[in-house]
Amino acid sequence: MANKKKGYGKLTRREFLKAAGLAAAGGLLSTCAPAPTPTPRTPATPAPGTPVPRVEGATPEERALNGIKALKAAGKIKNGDTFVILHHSGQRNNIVPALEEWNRLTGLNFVSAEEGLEANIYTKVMNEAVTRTGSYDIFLTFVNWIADMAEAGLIVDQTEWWEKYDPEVDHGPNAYVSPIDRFTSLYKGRRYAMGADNDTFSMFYRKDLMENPDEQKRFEDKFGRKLEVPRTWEEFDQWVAFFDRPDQGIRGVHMYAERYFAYTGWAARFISRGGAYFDDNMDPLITSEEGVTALEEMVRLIQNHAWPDAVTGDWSVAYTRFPEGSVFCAWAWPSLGKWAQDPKTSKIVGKVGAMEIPGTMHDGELIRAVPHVVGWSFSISRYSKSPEACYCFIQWFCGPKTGLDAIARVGTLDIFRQSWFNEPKMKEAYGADFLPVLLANSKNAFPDISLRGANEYLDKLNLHLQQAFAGQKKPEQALKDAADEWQKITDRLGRLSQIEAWRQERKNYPEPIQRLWRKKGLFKD
Amino acid sequence: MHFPVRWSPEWNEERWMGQLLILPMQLLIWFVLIVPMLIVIYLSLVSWQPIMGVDWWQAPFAGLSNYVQALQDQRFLTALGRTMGLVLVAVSLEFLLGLALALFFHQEEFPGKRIVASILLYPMMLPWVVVGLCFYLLFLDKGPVNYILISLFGPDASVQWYQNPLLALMTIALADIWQWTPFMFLVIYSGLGALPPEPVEAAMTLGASRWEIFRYIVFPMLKPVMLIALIIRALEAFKIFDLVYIMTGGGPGTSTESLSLYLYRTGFIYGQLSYAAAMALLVLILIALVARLAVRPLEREL
Repeated sequence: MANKKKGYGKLTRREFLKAAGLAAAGGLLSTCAPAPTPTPRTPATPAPGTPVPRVEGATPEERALNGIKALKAAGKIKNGDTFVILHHSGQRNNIVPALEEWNRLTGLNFVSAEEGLEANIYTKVMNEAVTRTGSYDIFLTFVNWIADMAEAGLIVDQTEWWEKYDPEVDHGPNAYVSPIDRFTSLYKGRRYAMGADNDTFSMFYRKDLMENPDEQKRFEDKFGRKLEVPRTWEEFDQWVAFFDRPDQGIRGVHMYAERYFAYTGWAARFISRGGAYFDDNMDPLITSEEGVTALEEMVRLIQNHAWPDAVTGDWSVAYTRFPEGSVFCAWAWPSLGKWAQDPKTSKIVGKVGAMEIPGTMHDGELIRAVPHVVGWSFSISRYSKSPEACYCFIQWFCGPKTGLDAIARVGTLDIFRQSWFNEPKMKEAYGADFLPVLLANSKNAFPDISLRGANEYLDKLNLHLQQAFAGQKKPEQALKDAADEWQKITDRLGRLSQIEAWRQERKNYPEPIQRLWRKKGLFKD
Repeated sequence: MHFPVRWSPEWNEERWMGQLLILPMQLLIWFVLIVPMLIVIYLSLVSWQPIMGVDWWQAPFAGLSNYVQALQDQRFLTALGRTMGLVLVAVSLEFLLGLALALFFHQEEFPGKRIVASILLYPMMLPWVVVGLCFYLLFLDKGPVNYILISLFGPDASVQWYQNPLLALMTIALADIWQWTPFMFLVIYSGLGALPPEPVEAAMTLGASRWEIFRYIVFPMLKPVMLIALIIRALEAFKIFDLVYIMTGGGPGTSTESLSLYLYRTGFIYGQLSYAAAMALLVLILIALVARLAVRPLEREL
């Protein structure tokens, strides 16, 4: 028996296993080199064909409804068909009443699937990209997830439907505020989404203190100029320092320096100085002089004139600090103004002013760069039973009339069509004084990083910026560390594809910023 | 190809029927345990993110590079060390406090003892999220803890709990200790109640002191119970996520980031599922080794 075993292939079983084990280990060890980058499939983009015939109708809403009629007539959908919209629970009030109206008008059954945590929406979306269950037909997600969703092959390119149905997003009297029309929908030059929100930051301050004659005199004595709302970041820093009164329980400012939005204040200064996140080759430019100076200024501001929870808290801190009157000024989303004017949530009702975000002077021209932070856009699942019907819904929802009603209701979606800024309904919802400020800020809004892997780029940036704000790192080092991490992400995801996306993304910035970049010769095109 | 089951006379109809009946459960176990595990192993050996635009089964083979990257990843190693440190400190204190409480309740009689013992168990029944939120609020800059400190020692006594990495970690450890000391108490108290009284009575008759009784009689008899409590608690604490996520988000920077939080971020925020799978498997191997070492004395006892 033993001989028989030994003779079998002239190896004992132990010898064979040993040899096989060594071979396998050797094979595996030889693959310890950095992981290769896979060749991505092209995001779902229909082949260019003949010009798409326009659908009849006087308004975007009418065209959307006509589209549904045509789809029904063609037998592509029928009454009672169900479509599911994944969205955040904060948008319930905006969306659910509109769904009821849409279902009544179309006979379809659009239903809402709410999710309470924003981060969970991303997880669900990515799960759907992998599992392809078709559980959701429409996604209402952060604007800067569009790239991930498109590259994962989950969402459809809407460009042809935009031509067919004309949602009046980028032209005409009902257009969105530019450049919000671009960066809430475009990825690599194609329309993969439709913006449904405006998350441009605004700065809110204590108007009562500004209007106090004693304060005005003291300010003038100290700085030799009138006490006015600051226009540049330099003036802003003096203004904040002047009103910083820790002994009276009021700090100068609340700006985010925490784990999730630490980039906002830094980016506003960096970009208004003429900085850009990347160069033509996707090499980070954040360690430039503009980047380091901007961060040094922000670190000084936060460490000297803000409560510590600017660094350790979360987004909600602005919504407690400012309305309770413990900071002189704060910046956040448009809703902060509402909170500060609501007697239920505020101790400073009637004392609130809003202002344009300051900027930087360049040869006599003031360049403002206002962060558009997060924002929500509609996109459509490739696995939906009728993506075109879904498109009709989102065009109808974002339409000039329907959208006006939906957005005026209390919820986390904010005003985005320019014509709405004159509507009484919106003036009532936001306050007539605030709307011109928000409009001006919106025109200077720049997007979050919206490349593929945006979450990771921003998280790594926030991580190092927060360390700088907490005093754990020098500003220069923090930016260098972030830049190193960004290089790794770019290489992992494929530099060429990212270069193309960044080349297109730059075009979504406000024109004055693009002009400044051209003047500085930052990019070749 | 080998057929796993050889026909023999013993394989009668009854036995076939038995096999057939357990087959659905076998398949279910394969499906929920083995298949996901195999997928995780597969993912760890390829380079894949959903946003790369290729399907996971088409991802290029990456060999051990994800593992190598993890072993060179300072953030991963630091999170691992930090989590182990947190487990060591928190679980040790939970054990000592639980033991002290259990001995006290075992030896002393006082009115309302049962009610107090029941109340002591409540923290353990609360969801992690609730505990995290309560402790987060307690240690806010304007929270009750700072309020008490300022009332007692003046305005300069206010502490920035979440800005200092060590203090932030301490608040997390405190929350964990508060919640899980009752578990130690419960297990050890039950163990004490189950000990035979005779050895203790004999020792008392022979004039042994309380310490001697504990050291030479109670402790050795209680050791298996204590070891089990320590192992269960340590394994559970190693996975700490909710408290860190809610109280500090892992910050400032990554200075309180636990291993689970880092894995979550890598897998679900950055979408690096392959890399997260490799790290998770490394952690699994580590935990399995530690658990094996921890169980060894228990095996000797039994």
